[in-house]
Amino acid sequence: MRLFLLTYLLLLSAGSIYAQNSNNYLEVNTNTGLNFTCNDPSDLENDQTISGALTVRVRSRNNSCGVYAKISSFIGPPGFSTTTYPIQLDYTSTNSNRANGINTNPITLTTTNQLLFQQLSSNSVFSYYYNLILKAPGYTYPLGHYNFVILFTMTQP
Amino acid sequence: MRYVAIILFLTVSLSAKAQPKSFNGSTSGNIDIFSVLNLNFTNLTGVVSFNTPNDYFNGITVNNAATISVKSNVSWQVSITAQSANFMPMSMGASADMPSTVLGIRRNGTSTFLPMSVTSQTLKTGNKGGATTSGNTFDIDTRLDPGFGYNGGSYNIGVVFTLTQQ
Repeated sequence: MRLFLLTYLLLLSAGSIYAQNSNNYLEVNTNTGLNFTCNDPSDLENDQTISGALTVRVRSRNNSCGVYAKISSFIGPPGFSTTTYPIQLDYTSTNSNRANGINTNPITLTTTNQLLFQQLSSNSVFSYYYNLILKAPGYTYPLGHYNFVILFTMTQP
Repeated sequence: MRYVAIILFLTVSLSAKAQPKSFNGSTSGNIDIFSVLNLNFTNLTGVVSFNTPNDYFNGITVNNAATISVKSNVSWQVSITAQSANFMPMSMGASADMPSTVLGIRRNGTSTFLPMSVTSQTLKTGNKGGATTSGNTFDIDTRLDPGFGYNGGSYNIGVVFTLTQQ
């Protein structure tokens, strides 16, 4: 009986890993450094865009899915405090023929998930391409180094 | 057999409480904001001419001689300094000893002219912000009062406006 129990748990675990990694997954590729520098009035007064910054690759074989993004961390220098963040994702294109409901407007990221797109189930891996935009920070941000983390989440029903 | 029943029961229970599946990926980036200080001049007044005795008796004041705009993401100050202790004679016969103090500069709306010298003097301070931020765009007035002690001619002097962080 112990052998049966061990075998059962092993198979259950292996099956779960295979399902998440092979048939259904989300991959975020950074195509260039996601670094912004502000050292000139025009940098503070105008948006800066990193073209082709990100590729979101999705395989959702078992079911349809929705892909969301949010700011999971935004750390600034002493004196920095805000509830709004100057980071936008701007959809540019996809090779998906199973996409559904793509948000084509620039999305100002917050700490709450916002829908980027939905995709119907498919065996194929599809790519979605995004620019990254730093909205004009203006003259009020404290000087220093800021680090942000964008979390992408693919959810299946 | 009893174990099998328990395991099957647990499996069914887990399935009944299945949550939406979620997969994550993340990326990170950086923003570096450096000190930005920008000074811009517009509406500069040209040559000031002394044509009548009254010009020499009273001196000549030019209100709104220039507009200065500051863009800065730090608290700032504008200082002024004469490039030389004396005006530079630019024509034959002009005096070489007319001091820089003949020229005075003030912020429009204030009363006292700062006599120019090679020592830096603070013209204005302000808070961080763009050109439209209150106090970041202002006019200056100039005053020239040489009296009768110097020869007629053309004169020139450089004035340096320096924008620094407070």
